[in-house]
Amino acid sequence: MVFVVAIVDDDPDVLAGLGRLTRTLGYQTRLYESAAAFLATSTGEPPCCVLIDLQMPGMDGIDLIEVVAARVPALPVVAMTAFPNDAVRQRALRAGATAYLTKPFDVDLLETYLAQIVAKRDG
Amino acid sequence: MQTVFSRWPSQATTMDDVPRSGDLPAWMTAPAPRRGAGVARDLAISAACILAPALAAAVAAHLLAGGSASGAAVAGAAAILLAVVAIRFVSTMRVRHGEARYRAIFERAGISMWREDWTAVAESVAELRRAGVADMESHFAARPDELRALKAKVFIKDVNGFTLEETGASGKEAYVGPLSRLLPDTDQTFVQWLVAFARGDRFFRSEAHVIAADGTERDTLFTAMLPGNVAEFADIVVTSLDITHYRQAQAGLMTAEADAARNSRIATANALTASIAHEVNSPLAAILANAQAAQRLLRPAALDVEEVGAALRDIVSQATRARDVVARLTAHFNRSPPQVSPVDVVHAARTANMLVEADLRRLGAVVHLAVEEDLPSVAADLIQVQQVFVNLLLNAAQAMAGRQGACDITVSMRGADEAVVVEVADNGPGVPAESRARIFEPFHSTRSDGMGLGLAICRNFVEAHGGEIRVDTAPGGGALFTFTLPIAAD
Repeated sequence: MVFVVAIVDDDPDVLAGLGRLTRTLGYQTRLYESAAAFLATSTGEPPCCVLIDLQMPGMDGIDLIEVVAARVPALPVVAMTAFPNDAVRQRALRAGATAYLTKPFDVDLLETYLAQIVAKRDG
Repeated sequence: MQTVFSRWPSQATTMDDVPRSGDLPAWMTAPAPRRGAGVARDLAISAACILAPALAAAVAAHLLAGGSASGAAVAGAAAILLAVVAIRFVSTMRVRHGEARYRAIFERAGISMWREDWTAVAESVAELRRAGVADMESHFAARPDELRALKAKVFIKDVNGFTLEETGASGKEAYVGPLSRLLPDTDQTFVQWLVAFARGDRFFRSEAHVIAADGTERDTLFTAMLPGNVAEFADIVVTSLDITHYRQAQAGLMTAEADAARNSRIATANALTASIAHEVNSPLAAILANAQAAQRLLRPAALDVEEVGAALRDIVSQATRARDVVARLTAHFNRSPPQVSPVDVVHAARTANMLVEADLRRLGAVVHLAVEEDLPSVAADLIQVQQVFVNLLLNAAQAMAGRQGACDITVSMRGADEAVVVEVADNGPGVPAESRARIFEPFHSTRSDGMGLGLAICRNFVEAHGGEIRVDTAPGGGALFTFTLPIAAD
């Protein structure tokens, strides 16, 4: 079975790189450049998890996490940020993120998180 | 302490023991001299002065008329003698009256006045001037102990009643004595009196701090007319104005301003750091993701050469993006080069000394300035030169803090080939030879409360002007910082 990972990041270069990396881990990816674009899609196989960048114009990552937590409580969320800061991390976890990644992050960390999410879902 | 309104100093205070408002003020209940008594006394004296010789003269005339020539001569002589005595008496009365009026003005004037004997200092200054020494400040910078000895030879002979009222001192003996008892070792104004004497100034004004009778330090504005001849040095009248509250209010305002400026600087730095982190971390995230993806795409089981090529192209473009971010930042901060103009280094040093005066006093240090005659101006940014002095003076004072004995910082300046050489020496523990190379590196600090940027900033500023800075051992064993600045072109 192939799992789908959704990635939301306003930086197209980061989005493309993360998509490529996630695919080498054996997942399918769906890439979104904004919170609105992600919320507008409802077609296809539901993703197994979503990676959300916190600093985005328009609806930011924290707001998006809250919306996802309210609409699809079962969908695991991994928060990402290029500016690490304890307050932001706490807000993301309180909003409903299950994990937190600081950019740039190592592939091993991403692989571990995704594997844990899949294992939990299967379990 | 009751505060009353006054235009300057901004806060004035009256005496501590203010009576309860129900009591009548003392001047209403104190007995005033009766006017009649004075008139009767004056009448009696005047009558005696006029009548006594007149009576003797009348007796003489009577005896002459009676034919007793010898008796008349005696009475006539007595009349003349009495007249002379009367004249002497009246003139003595006038002198006494004048003295009493002078005392009244001195004692009751609403400003603190001190009468001081500076004869010994005048003799020293005269001797130095005759020996060809004109720059008292530089002369005594090399001889701080002689300066302290001279201060002990200035004698406060008397202070007025207002001084006692204002300070609550028990009696004049709290003030009468050598000046060194009141002027602490951290004082930097004493040498300025000598400068004024040597120059022949007509008056003197200085903001000093004195040790009050209760042991506290009081900021004081001293003013004096300076003597017109040698004899007058024995009795210089100095007025002193307590400006402690005024200075405190000023310092409070400056602290508040500095705090606000620092908070705003910290906020700016935080915002800047956040934006730099975001701008640099984003391309780094893309580079790392693409690089690790490429590594995995090269594995035999998943070999995808085309995708590896795409990843490598993205890596190159993201590395360029990160480089541009840094280039933009550097360009932004290099846009304001130092404002180079001819700078009077002595003036810069004095301004810096004023900026750190409160800290030096707290740390118990005193600055002596020795400057070569006709020192040329340097080509530099005034603010940066002041900052170098501020950092070096504070460093020196902190290095000597807690030391037994005098904490002397000697700043000397001289012209060399194409540069002005500035030396800042202290008599602290000095800098060990093995740390001298690293002491100018950023974040190298021996104190727990510092960032370790002070000397790094000094080096940056000095080298940006084409100068050099180094540290050696001072003749007394303390630290000796030397820096050079290029002489300004005419």
